[in-house]
Amino acid sequence: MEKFKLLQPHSLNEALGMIDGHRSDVRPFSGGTAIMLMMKSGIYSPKTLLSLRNIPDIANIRFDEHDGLCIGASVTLDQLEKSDEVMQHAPVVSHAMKHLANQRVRNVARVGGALAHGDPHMDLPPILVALESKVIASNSGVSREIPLIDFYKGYYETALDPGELIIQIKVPSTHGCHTAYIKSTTRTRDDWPAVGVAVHFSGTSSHVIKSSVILGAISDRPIKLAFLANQIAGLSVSDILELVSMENISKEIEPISDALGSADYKLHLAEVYTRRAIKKAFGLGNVQ
Amino acid sequence: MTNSSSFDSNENSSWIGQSVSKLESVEKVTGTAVYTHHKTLPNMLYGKIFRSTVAHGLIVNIETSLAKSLPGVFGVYTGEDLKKVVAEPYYGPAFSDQPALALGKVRYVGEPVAVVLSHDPHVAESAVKLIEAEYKELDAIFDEVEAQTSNIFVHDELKPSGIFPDLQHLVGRKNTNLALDFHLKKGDPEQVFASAEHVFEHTFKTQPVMHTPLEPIVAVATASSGRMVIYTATQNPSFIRTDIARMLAWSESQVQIVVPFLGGGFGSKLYVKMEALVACLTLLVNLPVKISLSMEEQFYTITKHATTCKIKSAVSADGKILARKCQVWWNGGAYADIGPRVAQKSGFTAAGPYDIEHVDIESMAMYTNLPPAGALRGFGIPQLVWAYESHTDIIARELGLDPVALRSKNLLQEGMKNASGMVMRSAELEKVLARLAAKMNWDADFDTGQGTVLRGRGIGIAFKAVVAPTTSTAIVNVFADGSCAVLTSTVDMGQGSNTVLAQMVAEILTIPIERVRVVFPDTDVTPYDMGTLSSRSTFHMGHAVRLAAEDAKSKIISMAKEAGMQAIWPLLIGDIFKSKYGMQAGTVSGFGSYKPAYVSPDKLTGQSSNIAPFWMVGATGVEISVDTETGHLSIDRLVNVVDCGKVINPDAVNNQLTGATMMQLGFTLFEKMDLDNGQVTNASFADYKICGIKDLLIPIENECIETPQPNAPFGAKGVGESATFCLSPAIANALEHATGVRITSLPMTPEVVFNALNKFKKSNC
Repeated sequence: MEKFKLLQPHSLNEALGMIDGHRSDVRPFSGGTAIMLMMKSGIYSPKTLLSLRNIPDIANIRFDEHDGLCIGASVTLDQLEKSDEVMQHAPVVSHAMKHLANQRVRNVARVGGALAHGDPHMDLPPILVALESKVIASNSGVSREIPLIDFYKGYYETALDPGELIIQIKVPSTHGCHTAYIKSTTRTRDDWPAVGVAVHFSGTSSHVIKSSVILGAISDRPIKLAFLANQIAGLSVSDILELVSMENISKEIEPISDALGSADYKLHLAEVYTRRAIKKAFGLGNVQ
Repeated sequence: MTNSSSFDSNENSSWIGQSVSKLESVEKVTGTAVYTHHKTLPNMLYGKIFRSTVAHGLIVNIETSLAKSLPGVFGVYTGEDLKKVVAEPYYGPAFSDQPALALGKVRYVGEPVAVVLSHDPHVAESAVKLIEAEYKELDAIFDEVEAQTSNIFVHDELKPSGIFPDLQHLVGRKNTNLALDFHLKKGDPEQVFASAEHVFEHTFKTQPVMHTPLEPIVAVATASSGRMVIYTATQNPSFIRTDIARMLAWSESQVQIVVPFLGGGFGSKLYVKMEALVACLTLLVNLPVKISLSMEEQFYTITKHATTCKIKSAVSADGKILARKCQVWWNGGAYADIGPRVAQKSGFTAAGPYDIEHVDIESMAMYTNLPPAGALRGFGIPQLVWAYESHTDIIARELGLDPVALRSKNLLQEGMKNASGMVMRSAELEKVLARLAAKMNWDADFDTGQGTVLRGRGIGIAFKAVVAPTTSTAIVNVFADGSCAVLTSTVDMGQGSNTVLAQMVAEILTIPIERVRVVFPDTDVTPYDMGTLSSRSTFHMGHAVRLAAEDAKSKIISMAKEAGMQAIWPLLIGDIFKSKYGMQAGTVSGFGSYKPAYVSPDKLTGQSSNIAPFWMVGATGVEISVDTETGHLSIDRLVNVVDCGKVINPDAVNNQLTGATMMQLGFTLFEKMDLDNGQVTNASFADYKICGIKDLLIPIENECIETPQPNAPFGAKGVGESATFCLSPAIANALEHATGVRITSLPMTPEVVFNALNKFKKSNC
């Protein structure tokens, strides 16, 4: 790893100021778990790193009737897992955290970084997209709200402008909804998923009102399956399960072959895991 | 601390068979244990390596001027520079074929070509990126079977080292990639194949994998006044001293090798790795030099042999194996390392632990243009067992015989001669198999699952001969208060050798284990040992420390007699010293040396009446569930039964069996070095995963058949590898039982299993 300078601001304004002043070569990071891998392997050698770890303004979780869960970007995945508010209002997130990487990673990795990194092989993006979350991004004190579904543009590409930071994530309560996230890892259990499926339904198993089924890891960004979102109102879960097929998925997604699996295999896993995730959300059958 | 001047009487307790906690537990848990990575010396330079990007090529030019001009760079050095201080900067245990830095030619992607030295490792790393090399690319050979007939040659001629006399006939051999060709012949298999009722023939393959010790390879060298000290994470300090002294044309007394704790070895830290390079560099620059490899660089340093094994058996209708022929190609990569020894010392067991009258084994160590392969936990045995225990299971199924019964019918028994002609003694094959079958409830009905989840079970049984002939020596220094120091060159890399050796010494001297200090290997201080490998230390070094402790004890008894004191153990040692030296001071040194008897195998037939001093036996059984919708396997039960003789430390044995199982589980299910034209494409922990605690959700059931080994110290023999032998075929056998699908290449990833299930379904439609 090459030498770098480390900036450690203690407030959001200080951080934004430092980034603005050095826009070209200051790289912000929150947990550092992903960026350290890139730096160690030599594929990325930033000259200046800016740590977002010590900024109390973006390190808490609260619930508000209007905005839902408001999660500071610097909240660790471990805090997310153990938060009572998250367990109460978005239990699918709490459950998923238990199987995300390992405790050492969860102790340091943070929500903002997990979203901003833009690596498609992550668990949190498809889940939070399915829950119709929004990120609050800030640049030189000017904030904007971006629906997470519009946030991902491709491999490691997001809607963030240079110098812009995620400061908060708003997650609507899933109270009364049917949600689930399951994933398939093809090497170790704590590996990045080959396919992750997040589902979010409102209505009942005999009469679905609205649905959001998001596939993660399979291609360059989390993808919402249109055939499971449009014109499904009024269908039963078994009708919806009938629609799940490799053919329908492949019309919307072009899986990418990598070390986790070939495109064909991932497409197959996508079908199996989509069906399993839907069943799990409605408590049908015995799903892993 | 006690100041007692007598041996504490321990008459009622024995240290043998006790689960003594590892002596270094507190140091390791509190982070105070010292490793080579901590070592710094005044004015020390850090080296970072520039590596080849081509698999086979002539070096046309190495452009170092940009790197040299980077501020903070001390110097940039190539193989030609090393020759200014060392005429022949080559190393290797079997063949002196590996240059410390490439000379004239590169032979694999990742081969060290140049080194940047700087007082700042980050500067050295930046400078490496400024080096450019130009090569005239040559065609490369990657496949171990093709390497046999290819006209692409990795080396112009074979260069056996002087260390092994039996390789001298290979000196100067040209136009070959065959480093060593081992043959074993017994009876006339071809004639049996021609007339047998059933003949089975299969080919099995294993993939290249890596040891991934969590402490990567590291070495620091410093030299002055005609002496060199190398601090290094090595598994065989005595050997490193010999090979470095040979390379430098120095006497062994001029070279000192110092080894602290190792953070894992598994065979990756055997024989010279970075020691030759830091030795040459420190002579070149007259300053201490340290090279610490990254995890990534380990993938370019040493691997486990990929293999192809063709195996053919003639079997009678009632399941008696009449003849077996095995051809094994070992993909040794560009430099031989210990590969030829793997091919030979493990190759002779390729037909398995069975009584077979007609056997023909050919075991070939091949050079290819891949990273070098060496020893990895099992020394080639897991690759061979993958073939013979898969093959044996297929035979049982095809003949409609029970897999346990078929094995039982053919197993070598006490007093029978094995394929090499040695009479089997104290290898509890039958008991191990019977116990495994009992633990697995083999005769009971088995739930084969339903719907999309199918269940199966499978077993395997194997044996391994400890490497022979090898020597261990030890010194036990007894101090005037009755405590002692044990001097050995056995390396504790986490396996618990320090603790087990201390238990043996404490037992003989009847002192508390806390009063036994095991001294770290230092070739100026600790006497010769062949190496910490092949699960040999408990047996060989166990003998040496036992003899050394007994020698010390008898000297103390003699001193007591001389002083006219009572000479019944335990003795008041302080009084004896006072009587002899006038005060309670001094040292009594005991020395022990052990080398087992051995008969070299016949060159043509591989026959030997005494090929190994002991046999390790390992058997594994699994019950698995297969998710037929995705190809995922889950292990519902995993049982290991081994014969390691008398168990010295039950916890340590259990940990070795568990660790070996987890390691082999990764090699079985998903680990694989991905290679693209010789380039490793997953050389990092981000892309190359190893098993963690969550990858097996059930407890491993380990059991030892505790028959004391008659020729062993306290009846104990090795156990570090026994649980690696059979896991892979046991899982493949269970998969076939569950689904009808047979996998013949490792690893069995979910995708591999899923594709095989689909193919099987189609072929059965």
